[in-house]
Amino acid sequence: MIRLFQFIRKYHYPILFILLEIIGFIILTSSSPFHQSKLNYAFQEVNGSIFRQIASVSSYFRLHQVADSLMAENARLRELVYASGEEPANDSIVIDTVKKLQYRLKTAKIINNTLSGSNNFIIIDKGRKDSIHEQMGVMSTSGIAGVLMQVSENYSLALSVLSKKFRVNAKILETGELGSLTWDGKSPKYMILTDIPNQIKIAKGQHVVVGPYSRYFPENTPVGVIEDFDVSSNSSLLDIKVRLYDNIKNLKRVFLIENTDWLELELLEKQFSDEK
Amino acid sequence: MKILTGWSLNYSKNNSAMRNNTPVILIFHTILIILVQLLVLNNILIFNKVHPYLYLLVILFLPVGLNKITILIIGFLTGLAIDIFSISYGIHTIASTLIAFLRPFILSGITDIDEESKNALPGIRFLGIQSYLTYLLIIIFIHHLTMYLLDAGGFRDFFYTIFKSFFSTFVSALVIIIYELALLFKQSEPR
Repeated sequence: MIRLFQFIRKYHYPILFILLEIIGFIILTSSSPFHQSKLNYAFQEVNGSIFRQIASVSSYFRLHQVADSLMAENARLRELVYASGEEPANDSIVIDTVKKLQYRLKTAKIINNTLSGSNNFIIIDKGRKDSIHEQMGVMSTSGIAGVLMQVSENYSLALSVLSKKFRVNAKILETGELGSLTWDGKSPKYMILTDIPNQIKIAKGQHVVVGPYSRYFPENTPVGVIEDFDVSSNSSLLDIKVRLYDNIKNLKRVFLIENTDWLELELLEKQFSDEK
Repeated sequence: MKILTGWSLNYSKNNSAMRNNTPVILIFHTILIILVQLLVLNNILIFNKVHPYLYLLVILFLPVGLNKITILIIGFLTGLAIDIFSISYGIHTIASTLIAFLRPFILSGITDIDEESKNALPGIRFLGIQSYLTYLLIIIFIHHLTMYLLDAGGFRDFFYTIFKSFFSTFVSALVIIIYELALLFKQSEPR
């Protein structure tokens, strides 16, 4: 016993170092936001509460820009309404409620956004008390931003599209070709479209949108344009570089989108596997 | 706490020539540096690749003879603070603790620590430009390499990780030198 104390006393410096590193590695291994640990929730709440204040100050400086882009979006949406034959009154629009709304949208703000890791995260200012739940998509008016992974009482953590772990089913709008969109860890301006065989004809400038098999986003949600492509060195697939429309760095106001059909499908599946 | 108060008392007693509110100044700069890091530098990507990591200055600029345990704890806490707000899951904590641990060995290898220089701050004036650059670049490189290796999750894409480490070392060193020359120059007494 005394020997142990003597040992600890003599080597207290390296021992403390190793202890602290172990704490660091514990944090590292809780690193998947897919397992929601108490530690992660705590970090998220601290992060969110402090950055909420900061974000509200900095967003003040962009009000003009936001107002302009909102007007532009309103214009686009009005066009769609006109096209369907409705007359938009100034204060209300008749919605045909016989057709169920498959997607529900909520608005939210990004209050913290990481950019440099191999997996990046976004903190959103809504949480469980705003009836947000996991697996909602995060998107902006001109692109996709991520998927909610971890929701605590007041804030949510989303896995950003700029993450090696992130994949989304994608489609080339002009040709209908389907592929998988992912991130290579290099630039925040580009994502990589994969799973498209060599033989398919691709052209620069073609638009990339979300495909029909995405669990989170509606088909044809815009993502980016093809900027470059090359034959991949080790397979018969093309390596396509897609420039994102959205600069995630500057993104502040987003939509949280919920696919109600998918919830139903999941419940159905769960029922089926329970019954087995 | 005991260690810190003991040190600052000692400090004022021994060096009446130096301003005896240096601990306060260091704490002020620590907070300022961390704020600048989290609010400004974490939003700046150099060539869309790396962030400048100014917060290493907090660990680098601690007094030369400061208690090793104190340096270790300060390193750990600084890394942890940056980790929480950068949502980086421990990579800053691990890397910062590592360099806080190695700092005394590296410093004693570069410069002599005698009784009088115990409270000196290892800046450009104290170390001389050559030793200072060595000190800076070695520590920053070890830190960034550790961090990027952990982030990449191993040796996959190793060439890119190494390239990122070198590039990032250069960027961080630049930012640190600028900060030090602008704001901390007076703090470090020349030998």
